[in-house]
Amino acid sequence: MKASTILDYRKDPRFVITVPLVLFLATSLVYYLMLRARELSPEALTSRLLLFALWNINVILIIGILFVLTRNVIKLILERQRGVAGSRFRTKLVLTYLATALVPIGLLFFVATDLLRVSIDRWFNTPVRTILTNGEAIAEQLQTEAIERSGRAAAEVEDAVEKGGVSRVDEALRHVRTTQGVDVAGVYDDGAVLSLLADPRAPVHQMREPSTQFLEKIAADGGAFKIEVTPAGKWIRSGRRIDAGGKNLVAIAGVFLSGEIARMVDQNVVAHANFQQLDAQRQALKASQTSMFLTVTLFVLFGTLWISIYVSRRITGPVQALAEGTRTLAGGDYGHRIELRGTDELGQLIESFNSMAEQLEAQRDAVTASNRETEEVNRRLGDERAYLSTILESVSTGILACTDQLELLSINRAALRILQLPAEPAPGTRLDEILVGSLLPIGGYLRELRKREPRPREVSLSRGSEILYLEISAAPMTSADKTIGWVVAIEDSTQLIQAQKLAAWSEAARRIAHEIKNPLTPIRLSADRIRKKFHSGDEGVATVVDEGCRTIVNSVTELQSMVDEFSRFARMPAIHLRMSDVTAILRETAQLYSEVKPGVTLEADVADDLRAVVDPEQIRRAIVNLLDNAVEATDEGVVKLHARLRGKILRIEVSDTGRGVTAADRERLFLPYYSTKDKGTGLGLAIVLRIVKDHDGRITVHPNQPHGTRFEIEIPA
Amino acid sequence: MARRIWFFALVLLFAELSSAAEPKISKLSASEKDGKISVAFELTGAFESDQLNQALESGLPTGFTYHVELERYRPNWFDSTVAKARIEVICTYDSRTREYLVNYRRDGKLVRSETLNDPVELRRRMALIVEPELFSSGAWKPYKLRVRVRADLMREFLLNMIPWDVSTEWGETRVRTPRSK
Repeated sequence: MKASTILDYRKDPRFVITVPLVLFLATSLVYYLMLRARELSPEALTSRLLLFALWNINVILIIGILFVLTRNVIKLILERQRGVAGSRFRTKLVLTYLATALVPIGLLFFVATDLLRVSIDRWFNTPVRTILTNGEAIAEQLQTEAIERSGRAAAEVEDAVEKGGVSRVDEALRHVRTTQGVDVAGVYDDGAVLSLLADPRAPVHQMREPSTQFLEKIAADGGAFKIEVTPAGKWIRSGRRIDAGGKNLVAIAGVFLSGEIARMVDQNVVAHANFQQLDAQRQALKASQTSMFLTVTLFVLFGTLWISIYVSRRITGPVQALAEGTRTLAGGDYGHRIELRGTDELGQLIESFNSMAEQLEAQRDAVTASNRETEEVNRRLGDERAYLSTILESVSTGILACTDQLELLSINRAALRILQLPAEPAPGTRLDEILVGSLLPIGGYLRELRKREPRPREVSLSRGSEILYLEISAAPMTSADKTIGWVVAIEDSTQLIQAQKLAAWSEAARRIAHEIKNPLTPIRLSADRIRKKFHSGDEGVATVVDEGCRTIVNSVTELQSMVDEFSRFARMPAIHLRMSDVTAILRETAQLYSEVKPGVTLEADVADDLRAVVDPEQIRRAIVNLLDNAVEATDEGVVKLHARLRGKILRIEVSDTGRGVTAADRERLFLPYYSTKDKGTGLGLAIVLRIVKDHDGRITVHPNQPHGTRFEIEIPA
Repeated sequence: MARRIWFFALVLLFAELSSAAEPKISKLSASEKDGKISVAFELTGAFESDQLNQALESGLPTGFTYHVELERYRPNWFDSTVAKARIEVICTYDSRTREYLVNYRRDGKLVRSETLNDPVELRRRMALIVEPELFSSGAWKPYKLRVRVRADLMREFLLNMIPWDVSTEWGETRVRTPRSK
């Protein structure tokens, strides 16, 4: 048989139920025997066999109890030493069960057995003893009197025969019949009747002949008595040996106790004898009763011990399984489940545990899957970071990232080169400490990021004899709708600016040359005409001189005007931003052009309360230029001024229904000295562009519908 | 000095009391004749017990069991038992007829019965055992033999529960042979 099979039988409900059932039946049997004990004879109650059997049962039970107890105590000690989960709880449970069972059972046993012994002692200390003793004494006295009477009669016969010889037997018998009142008297010769005289009323026929043993005893001892119990009553006979001439004579006299008297005598005698027997067996009786009680007690104790161990195992089993399960779960084995089932609270606890383990396992799987995804994402992010890092390191644009508190996060190689930093600052370095000296404008730009919307800005830095033109733009890094830092792009546009400037100056020189050439021609022609007239001496020299001088003056005036315009463009003042009432600026400017040209209507659609951080003079100048161009371009129609605030962007539109500009012109419209007008310096829209740029804004030009041109200005408010 | 006297007095008193109270086997004799060994002995002090007398007079079967063992006597060496006998003397009193029925059994077999009326005679018969030809000494004749006797008297109860037979000490005597007379 396998060990597991041997151990499993104890969990078999049939076994668990059978053992207490057998104990119960055995206890019931012993209890039944105790109940029947009153009917059992004293011999049976005190028999050696019964006591031996009871004592052996008790010894077996004690050994069984000690075995079960010791075995379980050793198991509990070993489990506690090994730190088996639930062993402490089980120890407490078993001890509690045992204490609650052992104390009352022990007390009950000692009290009950003591009470039993006291009760048994009391049986023999009651007046019953006196009554029985007296009754027996009376009965004995009656019998003793009969024995004595028959003895005296036999002695008289003996004496008469010994003195008078055998011939006086009959006389002697008649005499004693009369004087002693015996019911029968006779003389026996060697066991045979020599003479016999009996009361006819006495049942002599039921009286047996004297036994040989009786006769021998009389012969041997000289006298003896014999009590014979017959169906009619009791014969009490006494005999005496007669010493008469060598004959073996015996005189026997008998008294008959009638049935009723004999019965009462016997009852008294027997009752007293029984009482004495019981008294003599008092210790044995106590022993048997105590042993029976001990047997029942031990059965109950064994059953209680068995059940307590079983119940404690039943209770602690789930607790142990839960503790082990928890330990296993804590060790990371989320697949562990407790197989035990139950309908009580522990069963619900086990179900909850299994459910919890299932959820933990599912969560663990989800977390594992999530981790795998995260790892994949991290890997991709790493790749992307490396990719971006490569890009950032390879691009010519300087990129730096900083926190909202302007602490450096990262900076690429291009930024280090543009900013001409000697070494890469450590992450966390404050940018205030880096952007010093010639880099202060960049620091100022970054500080402004925390106050207003980030806008690209061109910054020129003086570095020795060189001027560095940088275009800076910033983008916020947000988390949970909160700005946590900035990514700043620094574009070194020095060469581009220089190229643009060179191109612009080339264009300007060409245009200036062209513009200067226009007035110079009339001047040269007027001067040639005056010189020819003067040398020819023709009449009308004065007129020619006058006309020529006027033409020269006009051309010079035109040149002077042109130079002034150039000067103004060159001397564009620095903007002074402040919170301004844009509505008022626009409406006042529109008012100037309301009736400036016949056939041209100006419609101003300016929202109320347009306020923005702008330079009002520069804005007015830009709008004037745009309106001027629009009115100029419109022979008959409508010029519209429209202004709204879209979020934090101030949006201004100027449109006309004039002749419009071609697509090719639109691309060059904002270049200095480019003009589509016959009389124009080509600086108006260049000035507008400059003003808008100074406001970190932008200006675009679109064809108006159905015809005309529309300019859109967007400036951060 | 006085202390020593007291001590000896107490020892003597205790010895006297113990010897007077305890039943014992006395007058043990064993003799061999014609290959048969006869044993005689007397149990003294057994009827000092009220419990025994009460049991005897109550009609309960009351008596003694005598264990007689014949041993090969070897000085300075272990004795070996060569024969055993168990003699039971059981008396039952019939209170209606005032007769004591005494049964003698040897090794479980009834060997004789007798009826007595006299309690004194009864006690003498129960205590005095004379068993002629109890053992046969044929095979062990050259050996020195010894007989020892013990009597189981009555039952006492330890802790009021555990039956405990009260017995006498073993009485011993050498088997007398015709040569030793």
